[in-house]
Amino acid sequence: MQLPIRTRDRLLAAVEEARKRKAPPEHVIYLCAGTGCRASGAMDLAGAMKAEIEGKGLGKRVLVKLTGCHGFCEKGPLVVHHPSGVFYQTLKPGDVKDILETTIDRGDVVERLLYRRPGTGEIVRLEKDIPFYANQKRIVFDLNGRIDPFDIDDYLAHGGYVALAKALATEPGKLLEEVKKANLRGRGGGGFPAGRKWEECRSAPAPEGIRYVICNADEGDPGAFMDRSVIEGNPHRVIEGMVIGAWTIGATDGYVYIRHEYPLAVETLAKAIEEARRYGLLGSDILGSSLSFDIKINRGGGAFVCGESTALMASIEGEVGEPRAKHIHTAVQGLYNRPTNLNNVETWANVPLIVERGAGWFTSIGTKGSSGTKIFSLVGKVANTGLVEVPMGISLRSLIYDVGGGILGGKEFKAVQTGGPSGGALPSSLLDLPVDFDSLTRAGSMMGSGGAIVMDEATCMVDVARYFTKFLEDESCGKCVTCREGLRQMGWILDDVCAGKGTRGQLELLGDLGEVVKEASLCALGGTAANPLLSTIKYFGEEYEEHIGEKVCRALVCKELIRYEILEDRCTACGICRKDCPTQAIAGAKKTVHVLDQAKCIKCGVCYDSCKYGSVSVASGSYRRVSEQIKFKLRPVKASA
Amino acid sequence: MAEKKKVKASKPVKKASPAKKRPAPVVDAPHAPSPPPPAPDVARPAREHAFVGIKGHPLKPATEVPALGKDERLRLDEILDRYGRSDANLLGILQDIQDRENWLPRNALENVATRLDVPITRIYRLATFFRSLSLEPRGKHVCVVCIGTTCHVRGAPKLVDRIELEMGIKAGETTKDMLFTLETVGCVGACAMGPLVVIDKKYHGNMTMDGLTRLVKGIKGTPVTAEEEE
Repeated sequence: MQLPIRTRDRLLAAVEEARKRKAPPEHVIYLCAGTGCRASGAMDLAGAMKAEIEGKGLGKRVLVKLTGCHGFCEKGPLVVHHPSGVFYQTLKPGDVKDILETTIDRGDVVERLLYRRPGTGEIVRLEKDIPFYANQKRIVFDLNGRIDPFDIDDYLAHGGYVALAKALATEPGKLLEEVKKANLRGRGGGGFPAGRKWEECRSAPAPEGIRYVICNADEGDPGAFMDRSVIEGNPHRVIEGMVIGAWTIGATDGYVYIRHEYPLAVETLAKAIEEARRYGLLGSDILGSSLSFDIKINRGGGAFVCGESTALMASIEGEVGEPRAKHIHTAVQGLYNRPTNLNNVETWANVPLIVERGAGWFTSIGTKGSSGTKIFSLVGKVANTGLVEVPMGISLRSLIYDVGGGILGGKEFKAVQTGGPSGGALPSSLLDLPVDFDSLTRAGSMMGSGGAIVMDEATCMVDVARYFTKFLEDESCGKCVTCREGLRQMGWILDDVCAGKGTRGQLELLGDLGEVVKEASLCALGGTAANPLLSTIKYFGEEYEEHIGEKVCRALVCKELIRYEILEDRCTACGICRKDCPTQAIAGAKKTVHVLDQAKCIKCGVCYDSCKYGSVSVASGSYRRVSEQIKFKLRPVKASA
Repeated sequence: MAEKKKVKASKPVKKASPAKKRPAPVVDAPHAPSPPPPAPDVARPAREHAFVGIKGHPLKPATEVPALGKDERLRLDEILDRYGRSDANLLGILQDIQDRENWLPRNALENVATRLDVPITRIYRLATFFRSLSLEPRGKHVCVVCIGTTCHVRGAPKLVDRIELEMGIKAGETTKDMLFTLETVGCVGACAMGPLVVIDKKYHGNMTMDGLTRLVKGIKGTPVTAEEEE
């Protein structure tokens, strides 16, 4: 293949060539090497697997492919075997030998490494049968877990950049109509129709002929990580989307503003951009068209507010990330006061699909107002945590129970927080709410970037509201008084409530403050900052009442309202809690029941976590929970006289 | 408290070599150290930064800041060249300096300001705005606890408390022996593994109190040796 690729026909030929060259050998082991699986030891596993294959001389027959995130981070490190589709989970380097001998040599499965349905323990062999995957509709994620993100040929072999070739042969105006018809709405949170934004940017006056497209990968929403995963797993699709966008809009330069906290994503993307340049897919006269376009990476500095479009652009210009008023849209005057189109990673990744398969196909997925799919990061107290891609309009219940497998440890569902710090917590009565942009906003939450944090009975909603308020207080850029000072006041009041010092009337005050912050702040950070507070007051008001009136925290979270105790009749005097207690608050001796000195107790919970005999209780008012008893039989010692 | 800090902070700075000494320009005179601040009000504690510049960057005339060594200068040149010496890339430049030096020393910042011809205040504005930039030297081991929402509901605050107790520092601080820095981060995007702790860029998922104590104690057992400190 001759590089760079200069024409569309040559690109199609290169795709065919890559397909032949990348034809899978007899066995392929797709090994997830995303950030999540790396955190649980995927690279050690990969090393062991490659060494073992080498040692057995299987190099010709078996290929180990390090892919991006598969989504099921909870069960990592994980592999999928091709062609059988067998899924192995929570692997250790020691399991490699077994897998190779059983699956590769004998064509059998290693049962102990297979997925088991929670509850029934029934074995599931194939990846596609696992409920977590079976209930998803993966269109953006389709190649995540199948291609090597560091190899552009692998993307080509899967039909990559074909959409670009098609787009460059089409009039930009027609492309724009297609994107508008597809009703692609911004996946970053706002849900603004991408087509309309593109149109505005395209028709905005650009005296020097310079327009920008920006990819927002500053995924600051704590608890959401789909953008990281898309970039780590399939960076070329994002690049392809941006080039198509540039062609449609008439842009000359592109930026990706990506979080500094995602080193692997930065590395993957940098490599992908370099490869795309080498193949002539970025640069001047792309594929023989008149389009000249290149992409630069800007790393964020760890400021949540920089996810806001104007703050992000200020940051790219080398200024402090403070938002400005948007009387004039950024599409008209954005970066360096030139027309700028900013979209989120997931939005860009949808673009090649729409171009390739058509708007009709795209609108056939999802609901009328919100087409396509949405990736959620389903995390928190849910059985199957990870990234899931589902069609818009799926109910929260289906998302949490069918895909997510229900609540962790069979506990009671309490709330789900969608939209991160800008969204709200929704109670169980709203579980049948369809998940789309408009329904969530009506319920007082929002889609946001797609974080869905599930909370169970052991999560205190007042504490959650305090957490988000403090987070936003910390992340507020300080430009608007209402946001800067209002959030601080809200935080102080919530501190009081959590500490049992809340007074009557504070709830109303909180509500008022929230409304003011919402109304009088400039950007979306301040404008939505009160959502977590207001939604928890609306749906979980009784917990606030309990904290203020009875000084009780039913979730047993707020330190000042709880009390740890050692249960006399169950203590085995094993001495573990006494040894672990950081303040030496536990008195006792061998064969003497231990006693906790409340005056010294700092409520760190170490005794509760370390007790293996279920002898430590934590209580607040009439609510009480006893530590879990594991492995051992109870052998209580008699309380000494 | 503020007074104490000021005295301490000015101590470790090496004296400027006599060769570098030049008569202080007259314009600099108004910037001489301000008189000591009034005793802090008990009810409203004085802000720690008041009158002492920024933590790790005590207020003093630019002429008293030790010049960059030859190596440091070369390293800085390399970074500036990578970004085409453009002030639009200031954030990237600061990030790269921090990656190299582990923090943002004042003399490096002064140097960047002179060479890119931007006011030093603009650099400080960026350095104090962005969370990932540090104006204080960080320890040999940097421990970052993720306090994103998922990690929060899964018990990250307890982990932070535990390290604070174990190391005797608060989040954002460094132990006196420069061995250990504790930081928190909004989210590292590995939520399924929460609670998560990143020690020296290595991710440790599904952290338990026991596991964390072991990790932290392991670091404690390897104090900075004299050579490493050099």
